[in-house]
Amino acid sequence: MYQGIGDAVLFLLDVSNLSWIAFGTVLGLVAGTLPGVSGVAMMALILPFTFGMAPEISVLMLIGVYAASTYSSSTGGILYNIPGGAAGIPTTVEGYKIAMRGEGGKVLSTDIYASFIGSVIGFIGALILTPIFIQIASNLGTAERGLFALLALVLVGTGALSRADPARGLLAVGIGLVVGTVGMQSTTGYVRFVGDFPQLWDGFHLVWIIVGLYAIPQIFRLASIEKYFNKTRNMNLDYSVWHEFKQFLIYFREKKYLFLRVGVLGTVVGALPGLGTVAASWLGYQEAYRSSNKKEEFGNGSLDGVAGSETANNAAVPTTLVPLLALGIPGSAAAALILGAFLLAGVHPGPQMMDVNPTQIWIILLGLFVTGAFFVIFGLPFHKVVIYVTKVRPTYLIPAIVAFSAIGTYLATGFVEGIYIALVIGLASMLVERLYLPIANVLLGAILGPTIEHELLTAYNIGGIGRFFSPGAGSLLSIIVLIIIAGFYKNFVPSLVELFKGTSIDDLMRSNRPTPLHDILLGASALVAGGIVAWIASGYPAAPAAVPYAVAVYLVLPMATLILLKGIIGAARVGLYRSPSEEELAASQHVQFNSVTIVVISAVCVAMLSVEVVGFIPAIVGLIFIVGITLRSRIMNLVIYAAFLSGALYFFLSFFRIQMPAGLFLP
Amino acid sequence: MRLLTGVLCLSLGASIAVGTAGESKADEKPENYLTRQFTFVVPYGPGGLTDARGRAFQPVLEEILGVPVVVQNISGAGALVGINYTFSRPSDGTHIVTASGSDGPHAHSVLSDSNLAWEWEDWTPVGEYARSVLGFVALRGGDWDSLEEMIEHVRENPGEVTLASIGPGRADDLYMLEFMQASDTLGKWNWVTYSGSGAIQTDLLSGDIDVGYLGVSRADMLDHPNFVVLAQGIKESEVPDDWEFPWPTVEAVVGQELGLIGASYAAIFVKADTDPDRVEFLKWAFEEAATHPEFIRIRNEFGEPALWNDGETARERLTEMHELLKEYKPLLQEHGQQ
Repeated sequence: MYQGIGDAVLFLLDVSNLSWIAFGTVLGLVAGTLPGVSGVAMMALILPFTFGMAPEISVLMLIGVYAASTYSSSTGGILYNIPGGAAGIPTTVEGYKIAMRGEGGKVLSTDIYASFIGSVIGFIGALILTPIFIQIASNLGTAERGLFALLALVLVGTGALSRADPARGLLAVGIGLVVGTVGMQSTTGYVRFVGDFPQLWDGFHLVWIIVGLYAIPQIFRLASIEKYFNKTRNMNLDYSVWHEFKQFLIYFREKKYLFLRVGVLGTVVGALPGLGTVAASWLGYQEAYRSSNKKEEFGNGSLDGVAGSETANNAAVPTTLVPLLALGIPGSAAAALILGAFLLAGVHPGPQMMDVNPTQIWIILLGLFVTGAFFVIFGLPFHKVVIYVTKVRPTYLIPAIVAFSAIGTYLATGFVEGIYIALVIGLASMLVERLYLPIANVLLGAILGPTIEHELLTAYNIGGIGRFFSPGAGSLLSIIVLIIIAGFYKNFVPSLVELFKGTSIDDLMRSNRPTPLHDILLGASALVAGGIVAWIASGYPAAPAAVPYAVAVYLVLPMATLILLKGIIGAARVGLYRSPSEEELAASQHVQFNSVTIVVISAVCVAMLSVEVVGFIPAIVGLIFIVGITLRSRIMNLVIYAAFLSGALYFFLSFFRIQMPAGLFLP
Repeated sequence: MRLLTGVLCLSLGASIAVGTAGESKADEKPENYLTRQFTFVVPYGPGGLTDARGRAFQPVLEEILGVPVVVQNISGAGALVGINYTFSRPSDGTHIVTASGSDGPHAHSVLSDSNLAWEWEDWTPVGEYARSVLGFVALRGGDWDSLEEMIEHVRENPGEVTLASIGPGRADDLYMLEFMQASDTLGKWNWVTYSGSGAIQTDLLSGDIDVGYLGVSRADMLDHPNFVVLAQGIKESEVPDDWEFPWPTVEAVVGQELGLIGASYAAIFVKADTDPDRVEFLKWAFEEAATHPEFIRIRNEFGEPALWNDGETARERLTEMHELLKEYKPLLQEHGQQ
């Protein structure tokens, strides 16, 4: 079990290996701080460039991004009230108000040290839990592995452990599962949905899906929130690091049990699929509130609230990897991206890793501590420059993100159609996200779908239907059924009751929940899409038809019908839609369609679609000017930026020997 | 004066001799037609076995060819997309593609269901540069001590033993059918397919499968704590003298020579209508690269030792396999996975 630890330590002492982790940490700090560029989006952007790296390095670099962005998502919230990600919301609520009282140094210091304590507790948790999980997982066969992956999807989809809408959650999972069935079926080799297009016989490449779901919508979201950048105020961040550290030590001595409790809470929550850092953040915040003797401070700038949520969400980061390393099952979008890094490096995480390459497991586990230490080392000086980071405007970010998205998607498979497919996925995800469909569930469905299909069909081929009623598999099946029932009882029924009671549409909008119009649009379009999939799949032989047909008929269509019915009931009770009363809140969540975003979306589409015709770099230069002029930047600044970015891209492509399309006009 | 004349004559003679010798050495190297860049198409994504093979060539080829070498990953459909892409390029010898015995143009031209723009005859193998051997692997300390014993059990108890192989859609499917036919166990195994050797190992450990056909030519398989190799898929006639793996061959177990089951060789392919002089240059350049100490070092470090079989040997082997695949294809349609 402990074989390989020595080699792992030596690996982590290597300066070049440490440099990659440090690089990931810095990227994570920047991504978490910039509004509109979340840690997951940054992970999606850099994932394709991990090709060719040792898996330990690429995974630790992504973990560096993940850990640092989880911490720094609250930094943006403290500074200008816009969190870099959902895990930073509780800290934003409290931290921004503390900073406004002139105690920016105090809250930023508490934020970073609490995050570090959380990451250390989570690291210890991961060290203890991973070998135990691996021991259990080594005894699981195909049926149990398939059902375990299904359990993860059901936990995520039903929101049984959180407060998500199970109909939407399961619909999103269903869409992901259908996406995962495109291409060659793994047990028969039968090609589904894309018979005449060999480029898609392997299905949608993971990188296309990830860039499409996470990087491209961020581009449009950036255009939506341009005006909020103007609200960034010049806070006084001139504080003494040593003084604040001593103050924190006094605070820590007083609240050490709170730190321990929420740290352990976050550690456990992180290990459960479907929860992750966001749930940990809120649970830590609630625990801090429950145990606080200054409850009146909550909502008005409570340091306990900051400490509770930050310790918990950072404790959840290391243990997010436990089900991934032990079972190969990602429990969150970030874990799915880390799985992507493993798969791109040709490594399939799972219990066999401890036998095949124990050093790899220990490098990752011990590396978790390094990532935690790095974000403190870099985070403290980062506070001094963070104001400058937030001055980087969307005008400059958008073309750069488009460029790296295009390179990444092209690099993944080597054909330009990948760029087009990622763009289509991005546009579609932007639209369905507006209808409150949880995008992370689509990603998890798409990644876990092929695994579930392969494992369950193989289990059936090996032992027939009886294989699913062995003690292990039977227990998992029962738990899955119970969770589905619990999820609907807890989260769907109350929302229907609320509609029948006649809640106001303003209340729905204020609490950032879907209106009946959202329900009707989503339900109707999913019904049509599900019907088409079922119709096509019904023409396939039994084995390749089984999963797409079953998902369409028994998951997508019922969930779409439920959502549609809820929309119709809602329309009858509370009306369809009214202008949002809290536009600003919604802006941080969704793309706002106005003339500016429509021009930016069109320009991005034209740039990505014209890469093959005009060439990659000219397309990006054209995009810089269109986006810049639309967002009212100075022409001279755009000229300088165009020269800089095209030069940087040329150097990058030449250095890494990446051949992007040169266009039809060059020989 | 005589001395001077003698020295001059000797010098002239020596110069001519050296010049002639130099000329004859230069004659061995075909003319390099490359002026811009050379593209090495890897028909799988970055990372993984095939990509590592391509990237091992890159620095050495650049030195030999004198032009930048770009390794281009064009993945999809078990190497078919990359092969299609290479075929779509001009026949000027600036693009080559690498593939293995399971997924090269010789295999896809038989196994693919789509209408291909090319046939096996449209390709010329430049040479073979790597070999990997698969074998039948069971759990150490399990129910089976030998493949013979297992085959006997399968004959008497059809459907009781679960066999896993890598697939579907690769030549490996046909390897298994050939083995089953030769061992008189066709249709008697509970046969399932997995994405790779690692996945098969996992389910050998979990007990869901009894035996797997997976990669064995690695040092760690010699004395693996969990697995035992029952037989290796290399032809008796091809076992090198210094072969370090002692397991019986599949041919020895079934008691007959097999056409398909054997070591899988990674090969380089170029379009057949490329100028013959250019093909000769490529053959020379790749042989130089595959026998270059730096390439050998990289391959040894990777754990898949370098070798070189010339284009004719490769063509012979692959054409023979192509014909056999055609012969066995009806068997796949009849007994393949449903």
